[in-house]
Amino acid sequence: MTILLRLVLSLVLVANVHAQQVTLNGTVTDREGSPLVGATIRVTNTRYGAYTKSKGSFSISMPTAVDVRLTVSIVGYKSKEVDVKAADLGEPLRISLETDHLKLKEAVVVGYGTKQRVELTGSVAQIDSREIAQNTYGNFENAIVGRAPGVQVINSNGMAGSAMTIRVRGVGSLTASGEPLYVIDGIPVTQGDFGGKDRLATQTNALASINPNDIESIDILKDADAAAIYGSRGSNGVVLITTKKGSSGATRFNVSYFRGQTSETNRPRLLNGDEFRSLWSEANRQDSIALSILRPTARFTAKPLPGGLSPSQFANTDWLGLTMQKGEITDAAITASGGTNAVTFFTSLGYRNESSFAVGNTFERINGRANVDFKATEKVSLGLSTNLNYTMNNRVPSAWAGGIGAAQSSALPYFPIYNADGTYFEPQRPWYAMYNPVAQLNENTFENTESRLLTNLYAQIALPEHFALRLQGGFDLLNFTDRRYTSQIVQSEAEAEARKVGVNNVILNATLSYDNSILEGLKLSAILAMETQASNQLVTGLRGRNFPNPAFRNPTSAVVRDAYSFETAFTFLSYITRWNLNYLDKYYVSLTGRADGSSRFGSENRYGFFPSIGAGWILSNEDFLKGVESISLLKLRASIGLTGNADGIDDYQWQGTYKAGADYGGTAGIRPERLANPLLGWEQTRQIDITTEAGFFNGRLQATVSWYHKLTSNVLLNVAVPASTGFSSILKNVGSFENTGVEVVLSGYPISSGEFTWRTDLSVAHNTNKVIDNAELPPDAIGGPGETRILVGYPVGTFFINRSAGVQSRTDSVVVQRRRSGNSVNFITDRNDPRWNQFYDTTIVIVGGSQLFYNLNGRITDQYDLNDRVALGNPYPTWFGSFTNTINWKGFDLTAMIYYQFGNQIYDDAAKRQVGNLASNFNQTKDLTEKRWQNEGDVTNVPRLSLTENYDINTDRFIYDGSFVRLRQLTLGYTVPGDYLEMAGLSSLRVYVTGQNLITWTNYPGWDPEIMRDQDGAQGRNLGAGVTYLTPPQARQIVIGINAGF
Amino acid sequence: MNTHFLSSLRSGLIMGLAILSIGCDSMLDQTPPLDISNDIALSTPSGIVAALTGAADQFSSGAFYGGNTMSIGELWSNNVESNVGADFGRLQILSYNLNIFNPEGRSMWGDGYGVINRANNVILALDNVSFADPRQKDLLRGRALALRGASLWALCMYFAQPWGFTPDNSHPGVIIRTEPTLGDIGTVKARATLKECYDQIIADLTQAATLLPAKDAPYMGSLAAKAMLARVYFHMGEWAKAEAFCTEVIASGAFKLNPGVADVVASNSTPEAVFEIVNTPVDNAGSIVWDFRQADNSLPRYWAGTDFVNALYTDTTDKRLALYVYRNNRLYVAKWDRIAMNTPIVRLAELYLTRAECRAQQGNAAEAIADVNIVRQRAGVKDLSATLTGNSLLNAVRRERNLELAFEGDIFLERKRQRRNLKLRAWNDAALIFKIPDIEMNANTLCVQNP
Repeated sequence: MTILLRLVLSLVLVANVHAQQVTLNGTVTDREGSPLVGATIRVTNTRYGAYTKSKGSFSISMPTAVDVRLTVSIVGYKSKEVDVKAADLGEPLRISLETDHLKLKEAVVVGYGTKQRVELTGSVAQIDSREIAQNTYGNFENAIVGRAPGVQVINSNGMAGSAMTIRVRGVGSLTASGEPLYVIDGIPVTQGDFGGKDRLATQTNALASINPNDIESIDILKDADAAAIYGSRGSNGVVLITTKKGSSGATRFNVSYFRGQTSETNRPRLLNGDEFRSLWSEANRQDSIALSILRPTARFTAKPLPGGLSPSQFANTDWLGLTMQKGEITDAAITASGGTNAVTFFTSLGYRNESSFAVGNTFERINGRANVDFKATEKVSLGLSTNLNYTMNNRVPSAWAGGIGAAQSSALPYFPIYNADGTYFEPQRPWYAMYNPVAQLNENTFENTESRLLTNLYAQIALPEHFALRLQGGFDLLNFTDRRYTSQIVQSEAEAEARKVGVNNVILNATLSYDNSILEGLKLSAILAMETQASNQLVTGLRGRNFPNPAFRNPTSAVVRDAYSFETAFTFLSYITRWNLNYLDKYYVSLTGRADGSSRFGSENRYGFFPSIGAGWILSNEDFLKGVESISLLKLRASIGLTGNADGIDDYQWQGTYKAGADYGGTAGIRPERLANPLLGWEQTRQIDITTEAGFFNGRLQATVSWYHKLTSNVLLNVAVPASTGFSSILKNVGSFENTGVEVVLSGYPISSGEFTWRTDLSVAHNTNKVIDNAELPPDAIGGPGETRILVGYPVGTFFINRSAGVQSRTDSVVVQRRRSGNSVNFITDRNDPRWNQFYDTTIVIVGGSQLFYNLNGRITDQYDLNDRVALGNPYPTWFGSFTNTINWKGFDLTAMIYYQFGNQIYDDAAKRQVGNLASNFNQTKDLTEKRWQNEGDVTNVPRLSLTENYDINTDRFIYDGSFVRLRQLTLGYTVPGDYLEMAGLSSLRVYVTGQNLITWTNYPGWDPEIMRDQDGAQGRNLGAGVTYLTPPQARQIVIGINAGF
Repeated sequence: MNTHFLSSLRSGLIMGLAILSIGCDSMLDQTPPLDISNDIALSTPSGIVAALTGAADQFSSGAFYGGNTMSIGELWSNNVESNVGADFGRLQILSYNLNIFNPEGRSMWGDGYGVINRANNVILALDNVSFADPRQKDLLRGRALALRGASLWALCMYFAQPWGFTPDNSHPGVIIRTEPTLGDIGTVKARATLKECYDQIIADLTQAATLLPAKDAPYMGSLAAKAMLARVYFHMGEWAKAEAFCTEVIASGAFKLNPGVADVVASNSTPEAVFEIVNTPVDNAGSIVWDFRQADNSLPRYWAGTDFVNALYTDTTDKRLALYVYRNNRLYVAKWDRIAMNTPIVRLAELYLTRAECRAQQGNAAEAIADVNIVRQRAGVKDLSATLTGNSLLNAVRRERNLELAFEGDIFLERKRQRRNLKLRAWNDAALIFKIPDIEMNANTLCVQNP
């Protein structure tokens, strides 16, 4: 009641005093006198304020002439307070601001609130809207690349709409999800792949529906001090996304538009038809020679070319050329923001349409956003933010699923596209299931759409005594559809599927905060919050095959139909608190705790508690450093805490359940599905972080050095139980592993004069990962793609593989070592078994060009035995980071970002079929196949061509150095000076050209060293970060764009 | 702190908590929509019936009684020649080079113990649920016990050395599980001796026989349980007991020999079938049919071995010749040739032949010959000489048994019982049983491996 009364009164007052108002005018410039546009001028303790327009000018209307204090602020400059006497209010003000390189007072989003950068006791990486705007890829994750030290962002591939993987300070799990938690405006959002899983050898990205253009900042919580506020979901890091908001003042419009081309970073050189046929003859010749040596009396029969073609059908088909293209991108957005003292708003409308280098692959997005904040009374603010997105992704097969994957492998280059009668050519089977890639692309469709409503309502109530209460409710409604059609031209029977996924995710939150000086020099800011989340997912679908007429494309019309549905849900109930103490702006302490209950945790382990403590000491504010001019900041901070990984647990996994479908004799039966584990819970990470931040020469040189250690325990593993129990395994929290690393960031402003500034940033992250405990599971119990494993003492996803000993140079009698039990490959799992080391030497004739291996003793053997596998290599880089230079000169701006990673290996799982192995019936990579053994005396590691020897085996010959340095981004922009703009009615105008992934330096011989094999499961993604199997390359983009404000 | 502070804190908390009062502990209780929890699954009579059906489903799987418990043994015997192509598991079996990864061994072990665990769940749940009709409870308990006993029997057959391998049968049998697995506590358990296993099998089947009605298709009725008991006692050389059970089943009149030799496989549920696994076109988990089927011009993996062909053709009037097809210089078996056919596990002819040997062993030659002749007359071959005694009688009974029950899994058991070679391997050769598979050994530290 009193609130309402006050509201009415204040309205009346405003109306009354309108006539006596005074106007405050002025300009804001930088130190050199250049005008600053967009600076905020607030009259302290009132609601009055304004923004500077072109030439830095502003004007504020005030009801009465009184003494005022103005606060002037703009990003990148130190805020300034200016006192103006009532008598001087009519005089134009000239305010100049100092460049703020250190940004100590800038707000950093930390979850359930913000902190000033200087207050941080934990590690948070921030990417601002200007940096985000430089990304021309369709998703915001790409804006993080090279901008957040210690955060590795992996594009699965360069196809439009493809999935992303983010690893914050190393891989965070073994079998469960290693992805960070994504929180948009306080709402943990639905993430992941809903795209029908493995069917096309690629995954989708539910977050691709978010338009990066709407994002004000991305803050990544990296250590326990920062992430403990997200408790059981903080272990893999937390990505906090804050969308743009309006601010009071005249409505500002902004139009941005760019258009460009996209292409693959690299295209492999493969054999053409003539070359392939010639090598086929060579392989037959080599086989005949080998046979004449080993079995002189045997008769040799040459193997015919695969496919059963007559010579008149032989072609030289460039299948890759037919399935790849130059893609196009168009991206446009219009935003309007502004507001009055009571209401502010930001609205946007965005559209993006891109096609990729893969023929038929497109991604289209339409999105609208309205963020409105309303000051209902002095004490009560309300806000609504709504985001409506629609994406449509036409997907095409790749890798093993066909399309460009088949074009580089099973579609042999001497195959024609069409038969003489104009129908699609298909080679004779059975030998290999090649679907003509051109037919596949022309006749099949696979379309995904995502419509998503992300909405968020809040009320912020100021309470007496420095308390405030914030109530927030959020909805994230995701509606995903999947339509697939496979034509009977491509396979014997046409097949169609329509599938729908609905995810409803609801969050409610109440946060009580307190912010005040409780004692002289001691400030306390604390929160106490409670939050609930409920999310459910329903999948329904219909499959059909065999249609009465090829024109039917919906499964309902099929002769054979198969309907299905799937449902799952989870809930969280959380209690959260954080206490920040600041004593004399020198000593900071932060205590955080979160108790999370979840439906995913076992009945006897319902709540987890995740505390952290962090402390910071600003040495540069101590008297003994105050006098040292050159040191502008010296800060030490350290923290320790616990976080969890609950997103890795599939719903209901702790419950012992029965499943339907065990029918007998016409009666419906049920069967036990899994063992109950009432103790099942989160994976836990204890992280220690020690960091020094330093700024010299007024921040023109800055350095941040962090050391961290993450010990992850209670790792979820399917532990074997004796099969005589009726079960094979039980999911338990048993394993452990660690990540240890160092992050160094050096930033400098070598030149910072009025017209010319040069900023340079170097970030270096070093991480080592080691498995400590894998529950003594045998090596093959937890496998990833491309022979990756989890082995104690080795990094997650190390390759477990046989060692190649090269190729026999000349036909000769050779002493080789063989294993007595070697004929039963994979028999012995226990390495202490005495049979392990039963080897004997034998002398045999080895034909020149034959491949040889090392056994466990390190001795040469001619036998490929899985018992001789050893752990080798690491799929994750040990060093990675970026080197970015930004130069501004007059209106021009130039940004060049180099991204690099070193120390990781790539296992090319397709190379065993593509490097001198024609018997695989795959096309061959030209450069590596040229290194094959051809004549007696040749020294190489690629064996002679053969159609009888089995080269289709995993050896370390196909492990390559995955290090690379890449010109990730190059942008040249020009901002048109204000004088010209006003004539055009514009407030700002910038044109630019941006190139992404322009140049790559690497020794990796495959398509592209930035890789993630097609894996839909969390375990495959954790292990397979360095594995490729015909995986498409990354995309190179070159765009021209324009940004206009008015 | 002043009172304002506290009241403000209080009002903030109250407002916040009021709004979040919907968030309470109970929201953390989520039940899986696609599955049902153990407590619910077994809390009602109909739920227990469904769980028992699930046990029978696994019992009928192709890797267990639906196929492999019969066909794997045949592969080792002289009766069968085969071409198993690149079938890794069967190649190991044929080359006597079994390892812990053998897929047939793995799946037989997994399915066998799956049945046992499902049966144990049913048995435990019966104590906790009240039934309107207590006879229903006895029926379900009887079915579960029969499934458990028969499963343990098959596991002993394939994973343990046979009865008599050691004088007191103290050699390792398999693991006895009589409690359902409800968590991962107490899962590690040692193998019992074969004696203990047989005791358990006999106890289960005996109790089942007291609880079940005479016939209970598609499950084992009390007569089927007794027929299984006859098998067990026969294998143990307990002739009198085996004979008594045979007599009980035969004398009950519940089953009759079919008029034709092929009737039992030509149609389902013939009068001769004492226990059949029921298959339907939609629920045909797999069966022995896939090893032998030769209709529709498919080439079977198994065909009759030379020894068997010679034995069979000694009397060309034998109607049982109609069960074989000569093709490509091979004699293929047409016993298992219908898709979704029921799989006869025990049929009456076996009981006559078992009783015949029991009687011969006890010196009752006349009645032994009479039993054999019942089977011979159906096959259209002349009666045994009435003067046969001793070993020549035993040989005649066993020869008849092999001709009658060929390719039904009997030969493997018989050779071991008779302590005769299977091909060139002695009856107690370690290569004639599976290794305990990795899925057991990896997690069961108390389980000893077969040598």
